[in-house]
Amino acid sequence: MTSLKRILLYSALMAFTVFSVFPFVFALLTSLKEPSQAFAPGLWPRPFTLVNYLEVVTSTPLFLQWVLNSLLIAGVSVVLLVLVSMMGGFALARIAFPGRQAFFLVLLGSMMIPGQVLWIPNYVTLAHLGWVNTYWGLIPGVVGSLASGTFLVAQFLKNLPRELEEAATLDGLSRYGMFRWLIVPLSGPVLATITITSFMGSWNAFSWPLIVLNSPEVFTLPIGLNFFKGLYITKWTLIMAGSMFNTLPVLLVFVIFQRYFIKGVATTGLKD
Amino acid sequence: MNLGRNLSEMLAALVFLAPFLVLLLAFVLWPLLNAFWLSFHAYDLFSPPRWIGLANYQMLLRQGDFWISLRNTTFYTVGVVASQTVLAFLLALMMDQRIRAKTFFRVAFFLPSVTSSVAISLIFMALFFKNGVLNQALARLELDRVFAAVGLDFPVDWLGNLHTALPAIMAMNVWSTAGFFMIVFLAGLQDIPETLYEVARLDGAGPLAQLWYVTLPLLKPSFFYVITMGLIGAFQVFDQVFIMTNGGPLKATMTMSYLLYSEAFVHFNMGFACAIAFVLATLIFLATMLQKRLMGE
Repeated sequence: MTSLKRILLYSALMAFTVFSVFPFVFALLTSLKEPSQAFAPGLWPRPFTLVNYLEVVTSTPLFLQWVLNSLLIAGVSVVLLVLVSMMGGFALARIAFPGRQAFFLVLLGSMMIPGQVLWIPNYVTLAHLGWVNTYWGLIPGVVGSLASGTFLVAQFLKNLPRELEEAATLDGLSRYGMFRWLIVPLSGPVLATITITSFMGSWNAFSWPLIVLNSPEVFTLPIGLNFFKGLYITKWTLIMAGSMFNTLPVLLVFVIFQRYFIKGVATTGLKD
Repeated sequence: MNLGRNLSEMLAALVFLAPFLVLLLAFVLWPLLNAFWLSFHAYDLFSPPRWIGLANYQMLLRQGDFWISLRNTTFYTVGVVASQTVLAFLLALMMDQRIRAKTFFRVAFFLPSVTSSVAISLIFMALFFKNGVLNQALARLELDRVFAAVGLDFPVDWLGNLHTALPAIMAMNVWSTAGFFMIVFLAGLQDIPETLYEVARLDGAGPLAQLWYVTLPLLKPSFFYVITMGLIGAFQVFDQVFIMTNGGPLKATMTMSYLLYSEAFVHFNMGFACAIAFVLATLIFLATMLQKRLMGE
């Protein structure tokens, strides 16, 4: 590459980096400004203050509750999703049973159904079960990620060598023993990918929790944030501080575990 | 293979698949049928569904809001899918060069796609605000006169103006998804064997010819995936509209999902909302088939 081309390439990449990161920097800096300085010229807070963060927590006593609710729900969804998609993916990848191909098609097809088609019938189901405004009601919202998780595990396990089954037979392991003692220990990378993507999916979920949850005590953080925006609209420093509670944890998890996120995207994209 | 072994294999498969199967049946497959059935009924959640045949679909065609939402959704989808695909592809081409700090750029580009729709919407509401940073920057660059020339009052109330509200939301969503799809293209690019480029160069192909005759044809599956996923996502746009504009001003950002939501959960016209959902699903299906045909997949 000539040096001129190199300079142009890096400039373009840097320009897009700024474009990509600027809104976050802007939000963080705004959250550290005095409320009266919200749109004073210049991005840099003069002086720096944590008053907005304090006010988020004190003005809205439920705010920390929402953070806890979201953490709890994300934890439970991750366990559920990892367990169910590991089991399903194992059966699809390593057990030859009649109808497996058809099942794969149903699985892929279910990922193409727009969520909105299921909003109403699932809401009707919840209403019959008395699950509206409860955390049980959030279950239909994670079934979509379940299909992609199962698919991801199946793709991963298909690539493990055939000799595994022979080894399992030699060791006298049943299918269940094989799953527990051979498959799970070998699935580290794909487990990490589903753990992280399902955590992110649950932590960020908006439309389904919005439909199901209607009293502020049970809100998740995204729904709480939207409610919070309604209360304090135009108090931008406060709203930016509130949104940081939602953004910073997931950005931190992402920066640390980024290769697993990216592997998840790349694997799904490569299916033919 | 004996029968006993076959049976025990089937039983094992069933046990492992059972949790997934139960959830899939209860919350995807059965509801799909139920939604279809409900779309031929009048249903308000409180009294039993009443068969009304095609009346919901007929009402849809007569309702002005439906046509507005269809127009907005189509405009949104075409604009967002085209821009995000081109942008993601260009970024991937740059990232596929021999460059340093690849991880840094990848992380930076991917950041918006791990952030929640609420946080992104709130941040962009502040950016788009009338006295906000975007207008300040435009004024600093002395672009305010350009806006006057096209008949927009400056400072522009981006989300409150009939002509700019939907494009503003579109720009935000292109920003938030381009990095995600860049990863898909990059994975595709890295699968193209270097030898193909060498052969092309021996045949005297310049960079553009290599792009046209090697990269683009071999990247077809990635394009197909990115456009399909883009179409599915864009047709369903809801969160940002709900949070930022509530479909306004004057229905300028009312999308099909937003209309569906308000019919179902504000007015409790459940059957009518199911009809909207099926029209939306059909549109997504047709758009996917059309692009499959166009790309010759």
